[in-house]
Amino acid sequence: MKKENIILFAIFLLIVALRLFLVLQTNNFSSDDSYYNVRIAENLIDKKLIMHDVLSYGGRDVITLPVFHFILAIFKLIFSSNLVYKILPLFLISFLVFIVYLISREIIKDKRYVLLVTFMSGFIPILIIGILNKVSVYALLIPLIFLMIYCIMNIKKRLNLFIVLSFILPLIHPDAFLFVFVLLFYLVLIGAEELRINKLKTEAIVFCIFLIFLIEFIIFKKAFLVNGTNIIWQNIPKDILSNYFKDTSILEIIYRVGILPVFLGIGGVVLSFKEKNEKLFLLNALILITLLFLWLGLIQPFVGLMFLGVSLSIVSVFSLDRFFRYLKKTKFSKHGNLIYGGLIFLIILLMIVPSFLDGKKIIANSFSDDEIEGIKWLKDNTLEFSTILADLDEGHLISEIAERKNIMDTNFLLAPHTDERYRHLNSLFTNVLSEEIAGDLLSKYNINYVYLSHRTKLKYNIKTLSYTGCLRSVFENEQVEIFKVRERC
Amino acid sequence: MSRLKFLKLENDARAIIFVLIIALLVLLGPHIMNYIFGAGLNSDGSYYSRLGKNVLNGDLFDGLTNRVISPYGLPFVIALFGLVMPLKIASVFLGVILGLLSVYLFFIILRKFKVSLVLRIVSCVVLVLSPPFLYLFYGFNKYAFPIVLSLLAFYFFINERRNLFVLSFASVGLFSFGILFLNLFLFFIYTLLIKRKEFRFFLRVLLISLFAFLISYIPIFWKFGLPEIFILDGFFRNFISDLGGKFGLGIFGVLIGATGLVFSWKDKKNYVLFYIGFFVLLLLAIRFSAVIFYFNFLLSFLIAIAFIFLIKRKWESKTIKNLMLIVMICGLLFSSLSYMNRIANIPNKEFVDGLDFLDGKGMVFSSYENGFWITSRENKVVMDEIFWHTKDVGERWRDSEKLFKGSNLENSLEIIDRYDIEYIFIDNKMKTEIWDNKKDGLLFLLDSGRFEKVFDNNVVEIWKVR
Repeated sequence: MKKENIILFAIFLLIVALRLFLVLQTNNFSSDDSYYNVRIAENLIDKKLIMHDVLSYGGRDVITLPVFHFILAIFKLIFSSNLVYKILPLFLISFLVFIVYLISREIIKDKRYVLLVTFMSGFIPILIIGILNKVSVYALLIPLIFLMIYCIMNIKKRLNLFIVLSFILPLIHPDAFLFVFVLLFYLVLIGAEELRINKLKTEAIVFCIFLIFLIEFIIFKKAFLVNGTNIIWQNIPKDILSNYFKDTSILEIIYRVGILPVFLGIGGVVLSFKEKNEKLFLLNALILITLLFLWLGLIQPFVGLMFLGVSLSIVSVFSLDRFFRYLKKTKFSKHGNLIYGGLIFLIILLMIVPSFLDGKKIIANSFSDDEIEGIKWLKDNTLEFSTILADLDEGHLISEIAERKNIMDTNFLLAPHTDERYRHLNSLFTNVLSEEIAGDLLSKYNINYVYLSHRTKLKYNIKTLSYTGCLRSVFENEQVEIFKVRERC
Repeated sequence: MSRLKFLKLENDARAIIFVLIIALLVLLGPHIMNYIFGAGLNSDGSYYSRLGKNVLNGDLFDGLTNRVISPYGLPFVIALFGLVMPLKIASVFLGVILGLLSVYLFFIILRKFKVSLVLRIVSCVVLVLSPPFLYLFYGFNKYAFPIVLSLLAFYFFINERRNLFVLSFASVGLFSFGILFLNLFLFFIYTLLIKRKEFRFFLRVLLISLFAFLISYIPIFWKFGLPEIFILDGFFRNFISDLGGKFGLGIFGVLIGATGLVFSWKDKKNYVLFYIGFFVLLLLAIRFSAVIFYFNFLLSFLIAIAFIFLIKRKWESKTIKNLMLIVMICGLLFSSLSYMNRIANIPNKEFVDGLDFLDGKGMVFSSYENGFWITSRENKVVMDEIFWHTKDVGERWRDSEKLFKGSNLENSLEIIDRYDIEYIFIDNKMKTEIWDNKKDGLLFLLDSGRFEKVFDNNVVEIWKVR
C-alpha cells in the first residue's frame, strides 16, 4: 500500500473514531428530524412508503424521496440493529474525505498539500456538528454532490458514474436543485471568462440539469401545484421563516467553517480566477452560489455552511500550492516543513478541538432518556388515535416513538395551514391565552394530551402551562410533564 | 430529411395529415379520460352550454346570474350546434375542430415564413402537447374561437388578403373584447416597430373593429349599463401550469424553449420579427393570462428549434444525446399528461353527484370557482367566475370571504339572509384551501343546529339552511 493511501486511511479512521466516540455517548438522537427518517426507513422495511402520513399534523399527504431511507433500510435489514441509524450516516459523511482527496488530486499533483487539505476537510466544525448524532440525509447528499463534481472534473473517465449519480441525486433531497444552479452558474462563469471546456463536459452538465428538473418536477408535482413558486419557502410558517433561513454573518461563517478553510479557500478562489484555472471553476461556482443562496435565505444556514466548508477546504489546496511555491523562492524555503507542521498544528487547534467541544455540546443536547421515557409512556398509556400537543421540534418524536398524532412537525411541505397552526401552537406554549381560548384551541385540534418537556419550557421561558383548568397531570419525571386534556374546560 | 422519408412525411400533405392525426389523438385524450373517470363537463363548458340554451330560447339575459350575455359569440355558436346535436357531443366536436384548425393554420403560417418542413412538424407536435393548447380546445372555451380567428387573421395578413383579414380581425370582438383589444395593441406595436407604412391600414382596422364592437354591444350597455370591473388576476397567476396555473405553459416547455432561444440567437437576423413578438408577448403574458395562448405558439416554435438543434448537433457521447432527448420528450409529455389528467377529472363523479342533488334547488353558496357548475343545474349563486356585469361584485366577494372565515353565527346568518342562501355546497378542494379543519369558520358554524346536512358523499357536502 502506498504511503499516502495509508495516511488517507488513517485520516478517515481518525474522523470515524472522533464521531463514533461522540455518538456513542448517548442512546438517543440529537434532532427530531432523525426520528422522522428512522420512521420512513422502518416503514420501508415493512414494505410501505409513506405517501399519506396519518400521524403528522393529524393526517396529511407527504412527499418522500426514498433513496437515503432505502439505504438505511437495507443496512438495518442486514445488521438488524438500531445502531445502523447512528453509524451508517456517520460512515457516509466520513467517506467524504476520500472524495475530497480525489478532487484535490485533480487540482494539484503534490500529495502533501492534498493530504493536508483532506485532513482539514474532515474536521470542519459545521460538518461535524451539522450531522453528528443525526439521521440526516445530508450525510449522503453532500458526499454525492462532491463525487459528481469529481466526475465532472474527470468526465472522460467517469461519464457513466456521472450519469448514474445524476439519476440518484434528485431522489435524495430537493436540495439537488442547488446543484442545478451551481452547474448553470459554472457555465456562465466559463462563458464570462471565455474559457473552453470539453464538449463532453458541457453535454453531461446540460443533461444533468434537465434530468434533475424532470425528476424533481415529477416527484414534487403536487407540491408545485399547491404552492406554486412559493415552494421555495417550503410552506414554512412565516413566523419562523426568518429564523429558519436566518442571516449568516461573516463571523459565523468563520466560526462554523473554520478560519483556515475560509482564508485559504478565499485565497484559492481569487488565485483561480486570476490564473483562469478552469478545474476550480466548478468549486468556485458552488461557493458563490451557496453564498448567494445564504444571502437570499434560500438555503438553511447549516446546509449552506456545510457545502461552503467542504468546497473552501478543497479550493484551499490551490492557495497552499501557490503559497509553498512562492515560499521556495524566498529565504524561508528551508522552513517549509516547519510551516507545514505548523499548519497541521493549527488544524488541530482551530478545527479539531472546537469540533470536539461543539460535538460534545450537541451530544449533551440530545434527547434525554427521561424525554424518551415520557414519549414511551404516551405510546403505552394513550389510545391509538390520540392527538398530542408537543413543541414543533418534538413533533416527529411523537409520531415515531409514541406513534400518536402530532399537531405540527418540521415537515412543512404539503402540511395544512402551517402559518395558523404555528401561531396557535406558539400561543398554547407561551401562556398568552385565556383558559377559554386555550380550551377552544385544544378542542379545535382535538388535542387529548399535552407533552411539555424541559427543553420546551426553556424555549418558551415558562415554568408550566397557564390553562391548568383544562389539564390534568398524568405523568411526570425530571424532564417531562404530560397532561391529559379535560373534556370540559 | 432521412427520418421524414422513413416516416413518409417528405411532402407537405403527408406531413400535415400526420400532424393532424397526432392533434386529433391528443385532443381526444382528455375526453376519453373524462369518460373513463365518469367525470362531468368542465366549468366553462357547463356555463356556456347553459347560455347556449338561453340563446336558443331567444333570451340574451341570464336570469340565474342576473347578467346580460356578453360577448354572445360563443353562446350563439353553441346554440347553433345545439340545434343539430346534443351539447355534450357538440362540446367535444367544436373543441376538436377548432384545435385541428388552429394546428393547420399554425402549420401553413410557418410555411409562409419558409420554415423547414421538419421544424414545422416538430413545432406543431410540440404545440399540440402543450397545456395551453389542451385547455383551449377541451370542450367549450371562451378563448378558442377568438384565438383561431386571430390566427386566421394573421394568416390573411401575411398573405396580403386584406379584406378577409379585416373581416376575421373584427369578428374576434364577437367572442372576446379582451382578445380584440390585445390584437389591436399587437397590430399597433407591429406598425410602430416594424412597418410604419401600415399605420393608415392599422387605423382603418381599428375603426372597423371598434365600429363592429360598438354595433354589437352598445344596445347591451345601453340597457344594462357598463360592466363593473373587478380583477382577481395577479402577476404570473397562470403562467406555468405545473406551478398551479389554470392553463399556463409547461415548465419543461419553458426550459427547452429558453434553450431554443439561445440556439436560435446565432441566426438572430432571420428571427427579428419573431423576437419582437416573443418579448412583447412575454411581457404581456406576465400580467394578462390570455396572452399565454399566443405566447404558446411562439414557444412551441422555439422548443422545436431546440429539438432540431440537439438532434443535428455532433455529440461527443451518443449515450448522453439519447438520454437528453428522452429527458426532454418525457418532460414535455409529463407536463402534457399531468395537465390532461388534471382537466379530464374535473369535476369528478362524486362532485357531479352532488351537483345532481342540487338540481334547481335555489340559491346556493359555494366557492366562486364552483359557480358555473352550480348554475348549470339551474341554481343561483352568490358569485361565479365572471365578474363583469355582476352586480356589487366587490361586496359579494367580501361577504363570501366573511362567510367562509367568520365564526360568528349572527354575522354569518345576516349574510345568508341578505343573499337568500338556501344551500351551502362544500367540496374537498374548498376544505383544504379555505379551512384548516372541521372547527374552522363556516365549517364550525354548520354544526350550530341552524343547518341540516342533506348530502354527503365524502367529496361533496351539501347543507340546507333551516
